[in-house]
Order: sequence, then structure tokens, then C-alpha cells
Amino acid sequence: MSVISAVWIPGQGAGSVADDLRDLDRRLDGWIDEHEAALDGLRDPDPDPLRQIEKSRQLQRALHEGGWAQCGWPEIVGGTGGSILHRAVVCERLTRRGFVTFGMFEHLEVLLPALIRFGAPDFVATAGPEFLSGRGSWAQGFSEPDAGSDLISLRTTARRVDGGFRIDGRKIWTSWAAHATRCLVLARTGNPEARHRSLTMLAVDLDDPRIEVLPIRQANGGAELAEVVFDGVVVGSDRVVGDVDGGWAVALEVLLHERGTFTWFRLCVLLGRMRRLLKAGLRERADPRALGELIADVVSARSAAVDALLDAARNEESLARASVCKLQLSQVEQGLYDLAVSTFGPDLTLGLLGGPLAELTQQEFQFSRIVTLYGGSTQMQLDAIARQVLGL
Amino acid sequence: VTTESHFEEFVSSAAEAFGRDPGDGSLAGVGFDDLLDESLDDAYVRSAVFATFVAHGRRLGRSSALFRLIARPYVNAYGLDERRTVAGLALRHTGVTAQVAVPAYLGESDLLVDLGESAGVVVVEPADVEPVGAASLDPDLVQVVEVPVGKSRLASGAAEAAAARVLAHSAGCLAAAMELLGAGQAVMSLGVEHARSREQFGRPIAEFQAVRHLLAQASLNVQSIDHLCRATLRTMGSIDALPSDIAKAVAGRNARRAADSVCQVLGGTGFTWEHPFHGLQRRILVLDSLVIGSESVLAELARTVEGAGDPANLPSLPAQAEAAFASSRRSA
Repeated sequence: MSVISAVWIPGQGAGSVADDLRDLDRRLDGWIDEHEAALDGLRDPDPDPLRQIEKSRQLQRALHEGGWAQCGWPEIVGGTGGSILHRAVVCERLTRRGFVTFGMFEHLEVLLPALIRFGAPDFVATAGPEFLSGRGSWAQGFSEPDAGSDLISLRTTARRVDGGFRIDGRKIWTSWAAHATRCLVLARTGNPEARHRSLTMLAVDLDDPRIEVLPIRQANGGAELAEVVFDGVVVGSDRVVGDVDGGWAVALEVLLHERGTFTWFRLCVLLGRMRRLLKAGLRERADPRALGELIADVVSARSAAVDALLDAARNEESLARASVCKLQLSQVEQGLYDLAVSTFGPDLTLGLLGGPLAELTQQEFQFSRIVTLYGGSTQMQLDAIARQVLGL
Repeated sequence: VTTESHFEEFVSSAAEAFGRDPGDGSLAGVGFDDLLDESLDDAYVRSAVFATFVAHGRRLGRSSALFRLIARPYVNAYGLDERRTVAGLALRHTGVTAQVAVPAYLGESDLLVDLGESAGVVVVEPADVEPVGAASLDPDLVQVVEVPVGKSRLASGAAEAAAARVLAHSAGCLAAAMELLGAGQAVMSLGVEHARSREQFGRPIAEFQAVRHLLAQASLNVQSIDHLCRATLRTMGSIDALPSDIAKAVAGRNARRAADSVCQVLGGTGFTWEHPFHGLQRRILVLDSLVIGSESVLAELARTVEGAGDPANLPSLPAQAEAAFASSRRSA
């Protein structure tokens, strides 16, 4: 049996980036072998959303204890260094080994890079390690009832008070708000006429009594979305992420990851679920032409995701290229569940597949219908490509 | 400086050459045959070779580049004369004759035709080549000839022949995918240019969301080819190689989709002989059907799913990073 260090440190391998990544991959694989008994229950998602959330917390804690949750993150958030490529390798190995229950910790890849880049160092040094260790997690408070695709029209205000800001307003579709400890809130700090130049990003504790979280009962039975009401919530100046009136830059950084690099991580999860479905009979029962088309789309999307990761590792990200990733990812996610429904028919729709698989796949099918909405609707992504890539 | 950063420079200089002379003359200009003398295992050589095909697609080249590239592994395996040998792609054959897709301008080249594992490889002299007068959709690129296959057969059982077949197929697929990428990019330029200049209802049609989304969707299709071709190029020949027939199939499918969207944006103008669109559309349809058809690749992909439920052939991140960050051994 191999000796496995408690904490993997990048750059301890033979030299090149690739050797380093392969070394990390091997060590994580070995660690999973060694801890099989403790980890096995954390593999599959649970159809009950609350039990699922608890499972994802347990998995995050186990990964942190093993030293894997810290890989690829900078020291300031309690990380052991390395880059997004290291995180990508960790995610791929975990999903290959059947762990697809990241739940709200998928959000790490959406929010944490922007927090690290723009947050006040002392605050980041507190909140970052909480998030990585599973002790805390984050909600993303961007959309409002009257500001969806037109995010810049948002009306939640943050007014200067002694030592900080007072937040009033209402957010909606706030992912994980009922279960998270903190929320990234985009609010208006100036004249609405100034459009994106009067927005500020704030980090807010969700246990504040002047915050009301109203969970939204989702069509798929899930519980990650909520409406959040802010009624005179006061936060200190250290909770400003980025510059006052400079919140749009932070929002763009979040979107860059949500649409771009996140594609790799989400694809890993989808591949994990696809393996589950293939083993459950999709491989034998699916029309080969349709399955082949899905695989070609997976390979395609993954190639775009590789380029997004390499761009991020070189600090050369682009929001327009991120849209290309996001659109391909949506196509794969919907394509996978379209194929599952058309292949399994009533075995899926009437719940006859073995174990929790039918229920999970039903939920995942329904969720796949909104992937063309969150993170910017497909129509917004097409607009972005027309404007930024084609110059129209 | 990485090899990867040279790629776009290679495309530009080759595109310039094909802009002056779309035929085989430009291949000499960009040193194509000299590049083929070297190994495609070299990332720099590989980059320059496949960039040529992107340029060929963008400028609707009329050269025999694809057929020379496919011939090369056999030329090396059998010790043939590389300057006078091009490949013909067998479409169907009896024991006596074969119908073969060959370059539009065959000249005095010998034709090397691989009829498959059992029938083997034949070399046909120019005198034996008979045009069949079939209507090629892209007569600047490819025509069909009939050749006798009863004689001049090369040993087919050798390990060298099998290896040559794999190499030729892999290189041919990626080259066709790259050319489809180039043609797709050229189609995009036509669509964007037209949307900006054509006015209806008192404004450029580029201002209408219906038109913008058609073009953005087309661009998405073309950019997807780009990412997949890059990933395939990076790891070609390594143990982590992506099979290039996936790139070929996706490129054919996506380029056709992009051409359909742009065709709609171009309106009646795109349906005229004078407009360059139909040339690109012809090139795309022909390339999609050549080397290997996308339909057969897609159906075959389903069979690559392994016992553990894993689709084979996913891009490997360490291998991709290794190739992307490798510094170039030479300067451009």
C-alpha cells in the first residue's frame, strides 16, 4: 500500500505541470482506496434534498481532513497552493470514483476566485477557510424580481452608514440561501442612472436577524433556491468586495467562472451521472447514433473547458469564450437527460428503474431544463457572442 | 513562446500564400512537402502542417495537400517517391477496378490507394487513371476516377502497412477537420459582413436579434470545432491522443450547421453564383463526406463506452496542459 501524505503540496512531483497533476491524481486515488469504508456512503446523491445537502457537507469535510479540498487554492484561504488545474484534477478523480454529491460546494469554483481577487484580505482569510472546510458556504445574491437577464437594473440598495453600509431590498433565485452561512450581494450604492457604475458587491452573513430567507419550492423537488429579503441589514466596510461602485467588475469575475471554468467541474459531475446511467442500461438500450452524438458533444464541450482552464491558468480568460463553454455545457446537460428519457421511457417517468435512480434522474431531468437560464440565459450568451466575438 | 502560440501565424502565412495561388504551387511556397519529410510527432511540425489546412479552408485552396498528407505514411513504409505520390481515397471497389476520390489536378502523380486490410494497397500509374466524369460538388478540390486494382499491389500484411493505415487515417481526419474549421470561419466572415452592410427597415439587419442569434449560434458551432481541433492536435501521437475522427465528425456536423445558419442570413444573395458562399458550402459538404463520414463515426462512438460506463477518449487534462505549456524548440 502506498504511503499517502496528509496534505498534498504542489510541485513535489517530478517537475513539469503535467507530472505534478498526475502525481496529485494518483495520490488522491490512493487516498480514496484507503478510506473506502468511510467515504462510500458519500458517493451517490440522495433524492431527499436536505439529506443530500448534509451529505455534500460531510464530503467537503472529509476532503478537507484529507487535505484535498485545499489543493489548488492560495494560502490566504488556507490552501496549499497550485492552480485551478489542480482543482480540476481533484474534481475529475472524485467524480470518476463515483462522488457526485458536491451540492453547494460546486459554488466554490464560481465564487471563491472572485472573493480571493477582490475581497478584503482579513475577511478572505476568515471566510475562505470556512468555505473550503465545509464549516461555511456561500449563496449568490444577484438576480431580483425585476432584474433577471437585465441584471444592471437591480434595485437593492446599500446606503453608507457609520462604518459600513445598510442594505435594503429583495433578491430572488438566490442559490443555497436557506443552507449557506454567507451571501455575496450585488447592491446599488449610487444613482441608478449610473447603471453598472453605481453597483457594489458586499459579503453578508445570512444569520443576520434582519434577513428573511424564503425558500422556493422547486419543480424538481430541490431546495437550493430562495428569495432573500434584506430589511436594514448593516455590514462593515470590510465586507465590501472590490471597490465601492466597482461591483460590476466583481460580478463579471464571478460570471467568468460560472460560465467558463466551471464548465469543467460541472462536466465532471455530469460524466459521473452519465456513467451511472450507462451502467444502469443506457449503454445497451440507447440508440447508438444518439448516444454517439452525446459523447461527441461531451468531448467537444470538454475541449472547450480545457481551453478555459488553460486560459485561467495563464490569466487570459475572456467572457466571450466563457459563453461558448456555457452554451456547450447546457447542450450536454440537456442532451444527456433527453437521451435518458427517450431511452428509458416509462421505466424512468413512472419510476421503475432500480433503487433511487429513477427519482434522481427525474429530478436531474427537470433541473436540466433550467441550465439554459441560470448564469445568464442562452439568449444572453448568444447576445454576448454576437457583440463580443462577432463585433455586431 | 509555446508551439501553440505559433499556430495562428502559420495559418496567416499559409492563407496569404493560398490567396496568391490556391493550387499546389503554394504548397511549395509554405514548404509543405519539406514539413512532411519530418515527423508529425514533433509538435512544431504538426502545428505548421495542420495550420496549412485551416488556411486551405479559409481560402478555398485547390491543392492536393490532403491527398499528399494521407499518402505520406505509406510512402515512408514502402519507400516510394514522395514527390510523385498522392493518395486516392477508395469509395468502392471490385477485385478488378476501384472508384477513387483524387485531387482535382492529379498531374503526373502516382496514385496510392488503400483498399482496406484484406484487399491491401495498390499503386496506380497516371496512364491507368480514368476520369469517370462524375459531378463533384467541389471540382476544385476533388474528382472521382476509376483505376485498375488487379495489379501492382503492395504487401499488405506487414506491420508497417497497418501502422501506416492508422497514421494516414488519423492525419487525414484531423486535416479535414482543420479545413472544415477554416471554411467555417470563412462562412462566418461572409455572414457577419453581410449582416453589417445589408439594410432593411432602415437599419442594418445585424441590429435584429433574430439575425444576431443565428450568427452567434453559427459562431458557437465554429468555435466548438476550434477547441476540439486544438485538443486533438495537442496530444496527437501520444498515449493520451484523442481519436481525430471525433474531431472530423464534429467538424463536419458543425460546419454544415454554421453554413445553414449563414445561408439564411445571406438571403437571396447567398443563392447567386457570384457570391462566394456556395463555394464554401460545397467545400464543407464534400469534406464532411470525405475520409470518413460523420454518421459512421457517431454511431461507432457509442461502442467505445467501456464496461465501467466510461466513454473512452476524453481529453486528459494533464496531457493537454503538458502540450499547451511545452515551449517551442524552434522559432517561427
